[in-house]
Amino acid sequence: MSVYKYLRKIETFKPLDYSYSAYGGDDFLDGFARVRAGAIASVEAYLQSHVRSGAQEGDLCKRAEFMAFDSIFNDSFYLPKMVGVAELNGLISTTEGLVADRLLKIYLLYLRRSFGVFDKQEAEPLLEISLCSEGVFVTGEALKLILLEGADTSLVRVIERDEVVKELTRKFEIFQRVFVSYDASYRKRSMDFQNITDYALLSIAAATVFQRSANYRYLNALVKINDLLSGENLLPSNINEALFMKIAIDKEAAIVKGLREKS
Amino acid sequence: MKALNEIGLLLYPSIRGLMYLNAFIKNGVVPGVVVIQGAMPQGIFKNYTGDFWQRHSRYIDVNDFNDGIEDYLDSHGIESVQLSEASINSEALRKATLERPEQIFVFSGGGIVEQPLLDTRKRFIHIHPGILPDYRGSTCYYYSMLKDGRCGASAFFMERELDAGDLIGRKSFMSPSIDAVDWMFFDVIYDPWIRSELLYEIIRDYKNSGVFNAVPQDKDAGEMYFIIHPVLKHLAIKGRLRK
Repeated sequence: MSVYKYLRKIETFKPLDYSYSAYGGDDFLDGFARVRAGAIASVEAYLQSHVRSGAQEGDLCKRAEFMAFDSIFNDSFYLPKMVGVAELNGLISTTEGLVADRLLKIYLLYLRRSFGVFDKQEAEPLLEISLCSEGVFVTGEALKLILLEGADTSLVRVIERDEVVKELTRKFEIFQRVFVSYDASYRKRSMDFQNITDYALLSIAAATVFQRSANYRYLNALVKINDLLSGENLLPSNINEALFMKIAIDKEAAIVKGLREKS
Repeated sequence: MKALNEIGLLLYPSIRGLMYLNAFIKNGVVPGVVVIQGAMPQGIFKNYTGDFWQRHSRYIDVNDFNDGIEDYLDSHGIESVQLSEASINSEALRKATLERPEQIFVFSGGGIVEQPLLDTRKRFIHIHPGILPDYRGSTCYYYSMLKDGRCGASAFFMERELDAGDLIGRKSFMSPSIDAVDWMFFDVIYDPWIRSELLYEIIRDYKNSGVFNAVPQDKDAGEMYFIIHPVLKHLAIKGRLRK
């Protein structure tokens, strides 16, 4: 029986009462780590069964880590030829650092290519239009751009990166949901809140802000989000979603492990 | 003891309520009235076994309350009004404050004060467990413990907007180290204690000057810290355990 009892389901709104929660010491934190490890194992199992065939068995996960993002691009874009080649090769060949961080960087390289933007002059109008069309933004797209900007601060001028993450995490803390789109005042513009990718992206964005700012409100939100992503029966619907989930949970696990060691 | 006839205490039946009462008495004064919100739970000091209270007697001496809150108030000559309901928003409480001559009441419970009570034109002091405006939210002291090992308290006049009223005083504390067995110390003792320490200081200043010097706070500054997840709470407590 797990000592960690805070997993929840996205589809059922059931607020948990965290008030006066008991202290379970290392047993509790170990239980939390086991639950997250189990969630990562589930996602990796999904990846292993979905990556392209022909890979060596022992190599499946490694291939999945670096190949799966290609599904969002045309095959002709699969191997970047124009920008970031050296950086990409470096990320693939190195074993240093967190896999989650390398995956995220690789994804962002692909994302930058998908916009066809390679320098600041080209980037600004493209990214502005993507986010502000008719005063509505699509949560997943906005978060991808925010992550992109986090990786390359010269790219986005219009959006206040931290403000978006701050507001979306605030909304999540209140309503326990991430909606598919919002207006400029962060009012929901869609009733759909079941897109797992949006939760994973918000978790990654919150982790990125936490790593930069050490503001624990972001860590608090992302642990609650990852409680939704770690549910036993939650399966990703595609490889990209699986990789976002893996990045989100991996990053959280690394942050919490680091804080445990420090305390 | 001298009664502060302009100030009443809304005593919610809790450790915090008792510590607030002590903040007056330590100053050598008593509130003009204590409005007791509901019955004091029988087991208020019995929930934690062993010598928990004895080990933390520097924060509150439970022996003071052995004979019950009514006897304690009587022994200090404090006028009291007993209400049957504990809710801060009960009609009985609203009526009781309206009928009393005191113009300022110290609020010692939890929950959100609703408009009918704020409309009484009485003023209500709340002491928040965080340094405002930086730390908003009910469990923000765990966040500040995580951030820099410190806790804080802020006293302000309540307004409709949460934690946004004019500031009367603020005080920062270094969080103490504890043994793992005392993990409940922060919720049960330390949170109410830091608030009561600040209350002690603002009552002391009021006693000397006859006014609360309140200044507006920057309502746009600071952060709302939502209720802390148990994982972060564990990290905060773990960081304060004696090695």
